[in-house]
Amino acid sequence: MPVKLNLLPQELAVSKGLSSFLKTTRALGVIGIAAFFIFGIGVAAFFIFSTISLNGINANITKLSDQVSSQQKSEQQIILIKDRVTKVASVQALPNTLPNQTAVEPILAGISAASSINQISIDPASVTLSVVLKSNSDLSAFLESFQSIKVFKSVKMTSFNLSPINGYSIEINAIK
Amino acid sequence: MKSILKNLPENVRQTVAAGVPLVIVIILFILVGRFGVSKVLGVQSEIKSAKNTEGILTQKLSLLQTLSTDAASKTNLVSSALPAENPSLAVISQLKTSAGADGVVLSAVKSGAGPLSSSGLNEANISFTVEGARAQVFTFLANIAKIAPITIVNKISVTEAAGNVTADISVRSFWADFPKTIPSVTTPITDFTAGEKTILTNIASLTQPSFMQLTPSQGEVNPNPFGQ
Repeated sequence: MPVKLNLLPQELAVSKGLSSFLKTTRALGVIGIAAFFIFGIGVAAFFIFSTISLNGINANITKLSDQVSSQQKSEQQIILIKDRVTKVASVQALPNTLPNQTAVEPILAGISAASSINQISIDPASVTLSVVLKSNSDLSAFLESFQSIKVFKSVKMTSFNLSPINGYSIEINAIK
Repeated sequence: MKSILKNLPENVRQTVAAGVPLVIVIILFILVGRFGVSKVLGVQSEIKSAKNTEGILTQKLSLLQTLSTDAASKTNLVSSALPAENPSLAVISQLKTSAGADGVVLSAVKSGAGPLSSSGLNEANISFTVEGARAQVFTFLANIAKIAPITIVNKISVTEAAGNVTADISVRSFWADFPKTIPSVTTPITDFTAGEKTILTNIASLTQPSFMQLTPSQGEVNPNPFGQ
């Protein structure tokens, strides 16, 4: 039968509870050291891997930058095209007479050869027409053509004269 | 240190001996964790930024290679539509060509500089008189919008007598300085939008001015230029 001997001097003995606490602490210390080494090596390895990866990307950036720089002429051309296109768009947005011209042309085309146009004034905001119409049918066709146009918000007849020799002398002011 | 430990009671001595490595490990974890993790996060952040730059450069290079094929011809077209210098002479030349083609007579041409707009556009005001048949005059007026340099009609005043139309016309043409700087290499570049492509198509359809380049005459070399 085994005999349990305690050869330690009495003053070096520790209590049972403290002994188990110390055991746990020592074990935790050992585990902590091992974990610290694993953690440290892991962090270092990840750092090295990340640095290598970063260096690779930076090398690729340098190569791409050189390639982009070699295409500088194309880039200048594209920037110029974009600049011009933006400015052309702003020019096209400026008020001009073209919509009013387009609107008035069918009206003028509808006037018969017997009738005549005295004066036309077209600006981006309005159209002023002074015409001499020989017959009733010309007059009604002329006024109907204005009704069919949706470009103008307001159409005013500023003058209307009837002469037995010349016919109807009319002045119209159409505003967009 | 050893003497201090020797003087301590056994319980305390053993507790200190067991606890010190654990405390040191915890401190090391905190120090290395803070330093190492911040370094790794810094590198990761740099990688993210570098990958972003790499993506921009790859996209930019691909786009430049694609667009470079017809960029030169488009550059000529847009520079002709909106030049860097006063286009009055080119516009007058275009108007005369167009008048000849439409069968109208162009006269009394006057040109002057207009105001500078806020968008950096300079303006040239040109006024002239056109005479001809009504249909031809209106065809000519419609064709003004189809010439390069880009020109818009500002005012038309038409009088008609005995079937002959006289039109006093005021037009505006524009010019603007070319861009003087290009963005940095890593600045992204975008493809032309649908709106920009439409405008480019419109510009391409404009009638381009035709210029003649005169070459110097090849005369005989005078052996004695100061002689009789």
